[in-house]
Amino acid sequence: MERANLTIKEASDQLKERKISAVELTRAYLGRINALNEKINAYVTVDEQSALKAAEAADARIAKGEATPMTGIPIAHKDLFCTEGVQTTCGSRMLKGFKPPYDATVTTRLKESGAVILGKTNMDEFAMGSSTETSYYGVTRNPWDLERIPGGSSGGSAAAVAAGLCVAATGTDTGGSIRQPAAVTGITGLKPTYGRVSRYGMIAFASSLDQGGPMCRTAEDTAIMLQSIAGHDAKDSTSLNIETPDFSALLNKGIKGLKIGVPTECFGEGLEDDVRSAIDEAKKVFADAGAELVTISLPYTGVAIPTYYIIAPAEASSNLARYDGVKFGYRCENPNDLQDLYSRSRAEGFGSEVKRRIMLGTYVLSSGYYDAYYRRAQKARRLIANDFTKAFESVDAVLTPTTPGTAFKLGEKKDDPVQMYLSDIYTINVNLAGLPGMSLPCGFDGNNLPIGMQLIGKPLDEAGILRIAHTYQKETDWHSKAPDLSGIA
Amino acid sequence: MAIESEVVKHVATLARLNITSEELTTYTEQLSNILGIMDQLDQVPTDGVEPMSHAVDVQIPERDDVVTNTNNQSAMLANAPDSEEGHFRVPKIIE
Repeated sequence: MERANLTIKEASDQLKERKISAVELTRAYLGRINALNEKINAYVTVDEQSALKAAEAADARIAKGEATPMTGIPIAHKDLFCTEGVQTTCGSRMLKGFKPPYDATVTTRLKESGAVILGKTNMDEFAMGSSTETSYYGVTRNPWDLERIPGGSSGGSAAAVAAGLCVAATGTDTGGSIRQPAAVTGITGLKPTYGRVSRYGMIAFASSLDQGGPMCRTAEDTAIMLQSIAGHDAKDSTSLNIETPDFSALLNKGIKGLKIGVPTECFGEGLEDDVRSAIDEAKKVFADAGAELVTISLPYTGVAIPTYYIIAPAEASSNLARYDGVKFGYRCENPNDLQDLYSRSRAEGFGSEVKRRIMLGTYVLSSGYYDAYYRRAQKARRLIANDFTKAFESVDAVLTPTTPGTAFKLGEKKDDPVQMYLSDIYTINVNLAGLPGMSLPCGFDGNNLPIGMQLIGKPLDEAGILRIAHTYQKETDWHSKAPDLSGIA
Repeated sequence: MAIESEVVKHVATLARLNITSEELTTYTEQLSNILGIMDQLDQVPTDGVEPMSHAVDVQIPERDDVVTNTNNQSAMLANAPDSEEGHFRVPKIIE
């Protein structure tokens, strides 16, 4: 097993045919992690013992003929999903050493499916960032170019999948945190419809936008992993109580006659030429497969950034109020009194981007500014959502770039929050509207850096965009490309 | 919209964040820049638009009022920075 680009499907077939055991597979991935993680820093925590124990259990289950497609598959969790007894940091000093007393529902479901959890992946602190540079545990590097960012906030998961340090990983997406890192590392990632996947045990950033989802090599794998984590959960009151379709069964329906909308607003100024031409090529693939490409308009796309950067920090400032140094998390040394304990624990426990967003959120919610900012943003959010409702009257899915450009250099935007925020320009309106969206690889730029495109579906139509993505991946091989890491091992 | 450093100081107090004078300068500048892009919302015709507070229009579900969690006091206290005799410990509040 020296291939970095093994898929869930391939691994699952090999396990079932007894060509390899789950223990052997797990050992192979742990070996790759030992050789490569020091340079890439995709993992914050590697849990070798538990992984091997889970692998043994998976082998027993396979022997009994009771395997699911995830049984014995070595995966990683973004360090935002609570894992019982295993350190969960959310990329923050605040949660260094925090061992959750319970599992997130996503964690529970993947454990029950027999998946092997290798460890926890690095991320921007509290999922706030687009580069994984705000983590207290150091930057994660892009396996395609170690001097570049892996995207964020699920940058550790993206780098781990791209470098073959796991077969697949979980991520979370509040404004693009699954799709943007997937795009810049050349993998496939999906943000489900809000409510499709339980948020129980996911450390909250912006509760009306957060959604967990799979980060994999292919659409086929994404369908398999989504199947095991999706579905109603009584522990999350926003979890949708509806039936989960069989995502894999719907993959091969083809796209003949489907209408794919291409919004003019997403192909204007600021889009790099290489990205534009890669998507032009992809359009031809869709057209050859029988889809019809239709020009559409999403007029409020331009105000998604200000809308999002009011709503998300507002919710964050409220969610992060719980970190007060009392019940769990970081506490400062020798507090003078309770106020000092709160203010100093928070000042020392949080990094600068988190503090910036807490202050921004506190400001827009504060008396006198609430109507001017927060209320107005909620109204703009409605207009952005209406754009999609209208578009979906005439098209089945929407195609856009995932990001304006490919992976930028480490440090390039770190001190300029506004520039950093603009890297989410094509992804955040999907969260504001609560829609499913995915990114998949569609080419490389002149520096051999992966390019991603985004497919946006109707509410609850993950199956629709997965089917379009799978059709594309049957015709192209961008998704099977892996970075050459022979020089760093 | 530019924001005064006095306002940033007040916001930091509300948010229970100690900030240094250097941080105050940096945050004042950065928050002003960020609020600058927020002003784009002035061009959006929001009169009469119903505010959207949630992505999906669903009712809050109800459930029977029964206890579902067990007493796991020791597990909860295991993550506490300071505890004593089954309680979280904080500095003295009342003199």
